[in-house]
Amino acid sequence: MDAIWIANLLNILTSIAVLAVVAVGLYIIFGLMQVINMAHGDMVMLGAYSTLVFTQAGFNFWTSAVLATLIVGIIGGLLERGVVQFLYKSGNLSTMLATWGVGIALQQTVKLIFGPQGQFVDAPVLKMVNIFGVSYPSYRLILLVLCVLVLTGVFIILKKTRAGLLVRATMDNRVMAEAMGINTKQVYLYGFIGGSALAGFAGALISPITNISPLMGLDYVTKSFLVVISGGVESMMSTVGGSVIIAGLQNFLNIYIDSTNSWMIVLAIVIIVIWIRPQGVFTKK
Amino acid sequence: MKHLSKLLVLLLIVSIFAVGCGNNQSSNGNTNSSSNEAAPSEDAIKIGVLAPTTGFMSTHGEAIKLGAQLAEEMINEQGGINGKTVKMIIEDDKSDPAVAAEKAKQLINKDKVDFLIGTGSSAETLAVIPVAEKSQVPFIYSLDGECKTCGLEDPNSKAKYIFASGPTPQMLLESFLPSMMEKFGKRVYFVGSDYVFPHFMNDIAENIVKENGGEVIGSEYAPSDTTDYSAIINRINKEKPDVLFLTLPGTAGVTFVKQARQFGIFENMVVTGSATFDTEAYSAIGQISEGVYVVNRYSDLLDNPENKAFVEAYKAKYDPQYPIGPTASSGTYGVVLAIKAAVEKAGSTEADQVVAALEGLKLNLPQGEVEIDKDNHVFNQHIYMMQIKDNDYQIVEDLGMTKHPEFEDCSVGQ
Repeated sequence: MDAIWIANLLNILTSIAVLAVVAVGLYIIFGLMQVINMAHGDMVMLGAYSTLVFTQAGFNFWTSAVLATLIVGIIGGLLERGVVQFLYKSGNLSTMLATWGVGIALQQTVKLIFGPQGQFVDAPVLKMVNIFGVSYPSYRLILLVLCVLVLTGVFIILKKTRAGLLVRATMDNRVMAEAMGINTKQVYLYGFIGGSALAGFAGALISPITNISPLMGLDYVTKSFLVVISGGVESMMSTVGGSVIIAGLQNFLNIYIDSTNSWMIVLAIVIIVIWIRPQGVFTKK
Repeated sequence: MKHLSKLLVLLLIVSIFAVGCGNNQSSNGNTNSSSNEAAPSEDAIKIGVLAPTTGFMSTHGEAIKLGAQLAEEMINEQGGINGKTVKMIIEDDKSDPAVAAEKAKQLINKDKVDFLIGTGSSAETLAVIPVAEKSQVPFIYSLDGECKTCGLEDPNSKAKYIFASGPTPQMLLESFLPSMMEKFGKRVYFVGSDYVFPHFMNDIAENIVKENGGEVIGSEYAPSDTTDYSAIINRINKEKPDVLFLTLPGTAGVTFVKQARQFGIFENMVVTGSATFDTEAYSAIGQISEGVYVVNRYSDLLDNPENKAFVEAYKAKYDPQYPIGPTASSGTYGVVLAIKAAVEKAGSTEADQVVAALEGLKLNLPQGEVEIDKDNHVFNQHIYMMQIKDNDYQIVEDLGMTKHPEFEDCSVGQ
């Protein structure tokens, strides 16, 4: 295979992996509580800014990324306790509007503190490595591997542990789960913390390759919603499948045409997909 | 499950809506009209400064403000202009053309300023030009950009009261690009953000490359909110151009440069561009732009007495964190010095006499020798090829005095 194709393939895989981490976070929140968390993209943004703050304070990049993930998880927990928990009964529209409002407030707060201009985090490794005969930035490879590991970890937790069982039970049928003695309120809280932490983790990891700005989350929240819509929310794997559709398709088309046109085509395909399979492509029903 | 499908459709609507919102960069900010202590004395020479200190041009606006305040302080310490003190009335135009026009009217009618300077983006400048021209108040805009000094009715004649202190794209690129091609090779690849200015800039640059025997290997544009440039970077790496020319203003440039650096672009070719590596973006782009070539009218390393005085005073007053590179601070300071020289030559602040004095005026500014062209009102000036190295803009070559060809590409229409 041509060297350029290997590089292109790696680019596509990296973008799928990053989007999948963000979207799985959204899937947990959405699938669990049917809350459309409009502030999810801003969790990515906060993850990147937290990494910026910690690296500037002198921590090394990896420590900063772990701290950023924890902090964003806590912020997610506060968002659930402080805002979302009061709105479960009022329906999706009110949680959507409330989280959207929180998102705007977060963007403006960050803008006030750091200013509107782009910020910058050093990549922990700058070398290129030789893989299958092409030289590729080693940081991107690490990013790819870490995302795959985290996704595998989340998958195992959901499938094989008791905590995962509680989450899946609550997702499936909240009333029944409660009747079986599961404290669903607590499950919701942990779901929100976990989902937000995933977004924060993604934000921390992309901080060295992208521009950190107050509005950077918008791109991710939009794409993750499209992932959840096209893939479906039946299981975590349908979300990963959705990421393959959205990020894979867009980056594949990017090889041939410019990104405005490729994004238009992606949106058109998503609309057709919804038409044919409104429940999502990767669902059994 | 039916319930869920409904929700998914709602989600789709939300996401499409969010896409629309994503491009709508909000500009926040509050009015920042500074320095209006007491009634100004009848004798003061008043200069209205339109500085976009909030909104998307805020970093430029801040630099314009600093340059104007420094000039005010230095001139007044040395006895003012013809014995009169200088007073800067600084208004924030919020990077918004409508606000800029409004503030210009206010400065002219209420504050009775003698001169107008400043403005960031071309859109702001274009909004202020008709106001200044109709009110017969001389307006010297601070930043570079396409020629805007032609008449409101006839684009082939000069406007009476409008002057351009910054270089036009033609002036910046006409000797810079041939010189780059001679040094590094003739195969050039162009990347720009997908809106009017980068298209305009890269079109001019591509023509200059072709006219000088160069080859345009690639030319592409990406939306300014693109987060992943890896596909473009791969294409560039595959084509292996000698020179990569970027017009990616603001955050787009930061994202691109960060990613390109990791893909080893900087080791394989020479990187240069316009409006991408200005000091205003230095905080984010500086450390990773090591080795990049820039073309501009100013570096704080220029060796002349005017620049030494400027740099010394600037560092004493503001203690800057980054090098005082191109363009807004030194440019604005230079504009005030030009007004001072013209008023002294005319012996009056009367608009028509000052305009006559400005035309053909020669003076030495921190950026070097400048002559205000009497035919098209653009400052003829030296342009320098520079390289970002050791945390500053090192001068590689003085490309000599440049002059904008008549009113080429001049447009003041809305």
